[in-house]
Amino acid sequence: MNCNETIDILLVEDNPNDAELIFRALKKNNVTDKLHLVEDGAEALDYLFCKNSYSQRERSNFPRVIFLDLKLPKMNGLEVLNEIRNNEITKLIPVVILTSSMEDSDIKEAYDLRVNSFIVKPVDFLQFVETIRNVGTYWLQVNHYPL
Amino acid sequence: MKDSTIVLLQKEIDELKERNGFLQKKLKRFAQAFENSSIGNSIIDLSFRFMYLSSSALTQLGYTNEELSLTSILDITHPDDIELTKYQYDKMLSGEADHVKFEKRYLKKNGSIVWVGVITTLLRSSTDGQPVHFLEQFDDISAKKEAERLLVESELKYKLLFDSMLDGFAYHEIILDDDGVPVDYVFLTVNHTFELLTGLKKNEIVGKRVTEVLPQTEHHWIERYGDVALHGGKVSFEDYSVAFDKYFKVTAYSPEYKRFVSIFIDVTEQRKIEIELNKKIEELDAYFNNAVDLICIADTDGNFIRLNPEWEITLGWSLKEIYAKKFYDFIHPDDIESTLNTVQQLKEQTPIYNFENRYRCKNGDYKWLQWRAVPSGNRLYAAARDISEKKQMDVILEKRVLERTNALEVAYKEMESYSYSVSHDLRAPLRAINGYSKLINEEYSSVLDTEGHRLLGVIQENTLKMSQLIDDLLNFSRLGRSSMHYTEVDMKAIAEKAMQEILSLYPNREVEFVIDDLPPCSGDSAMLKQVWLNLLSNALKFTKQVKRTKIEISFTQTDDFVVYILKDNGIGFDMTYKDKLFGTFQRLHSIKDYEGNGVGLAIVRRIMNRHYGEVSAYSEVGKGATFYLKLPRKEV
Repeated sequence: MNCNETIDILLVEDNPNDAELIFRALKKNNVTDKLHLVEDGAEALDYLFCKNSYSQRERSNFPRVIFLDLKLPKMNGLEVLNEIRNNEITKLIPVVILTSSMEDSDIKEAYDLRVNSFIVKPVDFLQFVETIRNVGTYWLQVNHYPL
Repeated sequence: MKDSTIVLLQKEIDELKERNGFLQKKLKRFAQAFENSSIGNSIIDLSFRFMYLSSSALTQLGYTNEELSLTSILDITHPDDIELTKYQYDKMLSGEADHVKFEKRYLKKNGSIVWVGVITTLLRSSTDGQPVHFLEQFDDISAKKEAERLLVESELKYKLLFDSMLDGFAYHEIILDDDGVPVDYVFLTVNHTFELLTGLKKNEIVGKRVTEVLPQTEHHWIERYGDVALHGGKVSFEDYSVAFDKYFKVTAYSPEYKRFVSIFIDVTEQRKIEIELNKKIEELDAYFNNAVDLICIADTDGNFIRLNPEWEITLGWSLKEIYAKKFYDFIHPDDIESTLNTVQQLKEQTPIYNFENRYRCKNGDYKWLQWRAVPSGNRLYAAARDISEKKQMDVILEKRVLERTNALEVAYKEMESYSYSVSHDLRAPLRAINGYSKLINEEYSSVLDTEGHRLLGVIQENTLKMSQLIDDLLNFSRLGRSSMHYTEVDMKAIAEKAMQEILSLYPNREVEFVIDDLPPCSGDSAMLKQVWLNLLSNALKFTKQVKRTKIEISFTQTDDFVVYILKDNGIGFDMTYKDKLFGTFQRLHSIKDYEGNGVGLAIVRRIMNRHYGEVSAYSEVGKGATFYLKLPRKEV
């Protein structure tokens, strides 16, 4: 894995099917193909803070947006979000939560941790593709954020 | 003349001379006495006119001899005494008396009155015995008169006092038998109060013996009085008299030998009250000593003043051991502070209920006592109950409640994580099935025939149904857990809003919707809207075959409840199955005819239950259905 490439999206997703469908949706709609997949929360933090298997990664390269699933092995999405927000170098990176289900308590906690978006992944594929395209376009092409 | 005759004459002359000198001397002495006597002397003629007054007489009357000379004595006599004076003087003139003695008032020159005692003598001629004039001697007796007046006044006062004193008073004389032993007594006098207290009349008993008047008199009364009458001194005692059926408090003394005075008051009422009081005290003592609670009188400094025997029984200490210490000495160290606070409240005269602390028993154990105490100044009247067993029970119960609460919390947490997993983990595969079958549709379109596409379509459709089912189930389970936000809910507004949302899903349906001015109720607005959404969507679902759907919402109400009534003109249902109507996953129609998963009405019932309300339904097949929502008007 060439981990020194600059990427647009860090996708934190343990379900490879979901990951594939997201990747396809983004690529097919020409949003981006510069996406890096990590499969759990711990790996996400390793990537961001260049630790363990990512110790060789160029520190100054950060994703423009993080797509974060909530239900993850080892460390759940909210814990990852908390780490990101509490670290000086990562605290401003936009984080979008992509989850299978809407729980009131999750939304509230995510917003307490200054999440940027909270998105429920639709079961219907057409709606799913549309949602991913919208989210990707918005954060990578419409939105501005501090450098 | 013979010498002897001369001698005789000379002797007679000498004798006369001597006699004259004697008379002269006598007259002089008389005049001196008349003039110088401290008694007032006056010579009064037979017409009652002053002829001459001695200086003492003048001093007493305040006049001079010139002023009074030839003035009638009646002119300076007090008008009320003129008749008396005339009468007394006439008595002498008529020869009835040669002197009189009486008291009268003169008017002094300064107008004041002087009481005088008068002795008047009618002087007669020594030769023919004819009255010559009066010699009146008088003396000022004002002081005596005043003393008399005071005496009368004082006697009157004592008489009044005697009669009006609140004590009965009786004066008696003791009667002795031949051996000198007191056997009886006689009433000499009694006062008015005596009459009131005894009911005896003075005039009926004075001079009579007590054994005559009151035959029931006990001998010890006579003995006691006899002792006083014979030996003097004073006795005071309180005793019961059979004769009067009364208690008397008596003081007796002897003013003279064999006589005695008894002064007494009726203390029957006080005695009766005392007896009653003693009875009450005995009763209270009986309660105090037999109570199953620990009762005590103590002071705010911690001293015990009185304890009942239950203290010994409960704590094992002897009462003596408890009395020797302060109550703080028995209290568990951890309870001292709360006890001090409680005593402070009692000091401020606030009664205490249900205060609890621990007392040390002789064997070292502690007993839980529950207190009630009433203060009165620095005294405390307190009762305590041994609640040690209850306390032990409470501890066990608390432990059990805690265990069950914990178990419940564990179950609740499991339930939470279960539904969390369901919502996440069941959806992901559905999304994969739906997504990948869609990809086949798109990317292998050319190698699939129509039937292939249809089959993939069925797969995709079912993933969506299952997704809906998961949503409904999760909603249903959330309804049981989520907290209620009670407000006054405008039911008409939320029913109309729900209707709009439902109609937007059925744009091609012709619907007649009638809604009354529904009264508000108390409840969770979001949940109640869900109720309307479910009922109205059902109504539209089951009226799809009628040409024109009609939905009416009305109400009826009592003081406590509102019943909202929703009526449609759809296919209705068979009342045989009304019990299954609100069950989870219960369907009364085939899925082929009417879509749905059987959760909608179950949700309605759950929401109604959480509002302490009810839902019921009535229908006849083919004649529409009516749903009744009964809700409290005020928060329960």
